[in-house]
Amino acid sequence: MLVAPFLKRNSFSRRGFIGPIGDDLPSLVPLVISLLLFFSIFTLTLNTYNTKNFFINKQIEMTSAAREIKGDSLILNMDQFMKKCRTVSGKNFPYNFMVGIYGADSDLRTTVSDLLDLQNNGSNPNNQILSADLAGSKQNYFCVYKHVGALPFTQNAKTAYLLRYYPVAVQQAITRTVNGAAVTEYLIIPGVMAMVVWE
Amino acid sequence: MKTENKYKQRSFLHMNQRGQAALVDSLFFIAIVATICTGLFYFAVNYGLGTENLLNSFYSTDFAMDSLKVITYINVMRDGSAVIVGNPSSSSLSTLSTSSPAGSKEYDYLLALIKEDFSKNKKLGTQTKIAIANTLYSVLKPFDDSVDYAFYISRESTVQGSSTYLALILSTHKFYGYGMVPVTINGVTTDRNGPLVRRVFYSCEPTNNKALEKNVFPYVGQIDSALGKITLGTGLGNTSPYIIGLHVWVSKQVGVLQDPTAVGSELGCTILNPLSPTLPNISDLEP
Repeated sequence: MLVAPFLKRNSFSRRGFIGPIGDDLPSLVPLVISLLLFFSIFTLTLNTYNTKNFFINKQIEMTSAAREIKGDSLILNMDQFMKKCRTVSGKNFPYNFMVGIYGADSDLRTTVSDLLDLQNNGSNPNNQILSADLAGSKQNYFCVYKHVGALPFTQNAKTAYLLRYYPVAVQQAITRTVNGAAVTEYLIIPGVMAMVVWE
Repeated sequence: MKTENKYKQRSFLHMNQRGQAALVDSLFFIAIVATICTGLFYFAVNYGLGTENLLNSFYSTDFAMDSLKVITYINVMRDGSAVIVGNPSSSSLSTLSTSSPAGSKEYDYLLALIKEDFSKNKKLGTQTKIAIANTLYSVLKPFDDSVDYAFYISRESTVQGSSTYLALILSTHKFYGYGMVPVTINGVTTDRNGPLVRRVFYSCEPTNNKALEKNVFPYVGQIDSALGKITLGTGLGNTSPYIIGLHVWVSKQVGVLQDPTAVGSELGCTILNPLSPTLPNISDLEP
């Protein structure tokens, strides 16, 4: 009698046919492995892409902000410095930043902690950051910009910050005694602008 | 009967082939996925490297250009002995600010010193070269451990061959051997055995205008350069254009830079340090 093959399962199972799943299991294993592999690598690539893009954007923003603040690498006075800082922060700069200008004789190994001290306490214990006399009181060449609601720069943020140095010249007023009279003169000294950017 | 067997055989083969086909299909699929994954992984590893390199080169160029600008802006002592650094309360500036009578400690722009010296005999004297070295040292002091540099003033010339350098100041780290060196760890300074290295400033008089390109640049790796143009008076109201350049590179021990004073060297350098008390002291390390 002529019988269609699909009606003859029993005869096939006797020849090694287990069932649709059983038969396809060997092919399902590489299929599942490849899907797992693909989605793992895809996730990894997506994460790497986002992280690198974020880092690159941060660097670009930092470079342009630093260029704007240092201008022609000559800081004439505190007003000019603070005005440039405000200009950058007023443009809705997408990150938080701190900028300080060090004397050229400074030890830059403590930059981050110096800037942290200035941010938190307004003090400059190492006295490395240049200052200007404004109406009898000293003001450090330091500015900080934080988004509304942004967390302050802390040890935790240190993992995701960028720090760069730029040589600058700073004009300082000095008072000299000439023939018994006090004369204010202006002197241009070398300095280093340190900029920290964090999220 | 024969036909039934034929059907059975055919169907059996068909089912078997279908199982094998599914396996082969899945193997093909894994091969395709592996290829895509390799591509994705390669993309993930390499993505942004070019941009990052470009941004770093922007920074390096900015750094060199800023350094050159600062060198041309800042004031130095008229005798070339020092550059004022630090806050008004720091020693060098307070000494200056209380100095009396006027003129005992005068300061000026480095460029003004250069122009003044050049106007005398169309050359730069040792005092001016020391002032340049002091300025370079002060401006780049925060990065002193990591960089070497060359600063030059040269005539604008298209003529090949003879030297066009008015001044060439080369500054490198010189390795003298091993000995006890002070090491500061967590604020505590102790003497430990280590390499004896000092920054040395050389004033060079190269024999040809490609001396840096031939003797230094090929050996020091990536160089960040900044160039500017100045005019120097040549008398009777005439001026000539000159180029000032600064080349900065990451410090490394290279044979040719270990002793640029060697006889026969195209650089023709002499050490400037012992002539200036403000530059790093090398006398205690010299053999």
